[in-house]
Amino acid sequence: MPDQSQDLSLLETLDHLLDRGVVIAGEAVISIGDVDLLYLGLNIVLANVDALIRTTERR
Amino acid sequence: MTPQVLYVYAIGRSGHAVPERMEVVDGSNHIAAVDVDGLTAFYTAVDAVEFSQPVIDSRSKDVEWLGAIGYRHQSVMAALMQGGTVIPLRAFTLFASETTLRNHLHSERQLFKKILERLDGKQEWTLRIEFDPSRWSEALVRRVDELRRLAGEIDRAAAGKAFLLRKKLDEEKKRASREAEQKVVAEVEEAVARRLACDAVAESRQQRSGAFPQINVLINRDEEARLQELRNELERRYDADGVTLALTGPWPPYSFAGTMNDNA
Repeated sequence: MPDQSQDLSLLETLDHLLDRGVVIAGEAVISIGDVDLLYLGLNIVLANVDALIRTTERR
Repeated sequence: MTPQVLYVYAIGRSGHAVPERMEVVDGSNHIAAVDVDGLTAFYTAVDAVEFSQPVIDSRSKDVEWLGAIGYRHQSVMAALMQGGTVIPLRAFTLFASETTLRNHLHSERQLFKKILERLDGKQEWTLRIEFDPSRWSEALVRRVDELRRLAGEIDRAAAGKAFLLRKKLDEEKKRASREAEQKVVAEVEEAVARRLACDAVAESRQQRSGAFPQINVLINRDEEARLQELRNELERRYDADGVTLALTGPWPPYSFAGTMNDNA
């Protein structure tokens, strides 16, 4: 079974990595002006990272 | 050969060492760098299909997959940060080709250099403001006159009327909670600014899609103890209201990385 602090750390890390900069709820910005920047939005349920953290804490 | 796109981790100054022999986002150990106008971007060329929007969407709830990407991205970032200041990019920052990445570095070179200067010697920390549901709910009744009045009315009312008043009280609490939460976030942000005179980015619960609000701060490396001290003081201040402050860090300064994260 994974260590609880590792789980917590992973969730915190994902929260920072995928924070609102990326989480544009499914929106894919394929190009911005002339810049062919693919900045993908993850349609992910990060809404409740805090809830997940609490669940991990309770386990 | 299958088409590839570039997964970009970070931007640093020319001469910044490329990390070696480490597992990167696609499970390989290939990191490359492109150098333009005194700047270097670090990337891995990844399979364009594996990192396409439909595939990412279909796997976005697979915590194991996402966790592996997050862990590898974070490992690369940690290795890069050991070599000096970098502008960290969030996960899944993808460019179509090396040419488009070069063009982007060239066109934004002045901004990136400014951001690198801003980040030199600094660390990002996060103060997450957590509200215990039942204690915060009780605190709201103490804090807000209208709620206190309604609570008193419920105590005196007959069963039928009390039922309706309770529903009204719940609605009023929701509204009051949003306002009171914003007030607490603003107070914490002000306290941080006063004590540490640092850059800060506050993110409300709405901005975080329902997760607890937080304040990201960019402080000098030697200011960690002062931030911890402030966190303890603030926690004592809000203890009776069921509000706690979780301090985490240091993080790569994603919140202060400029245009690509669109919030600096």
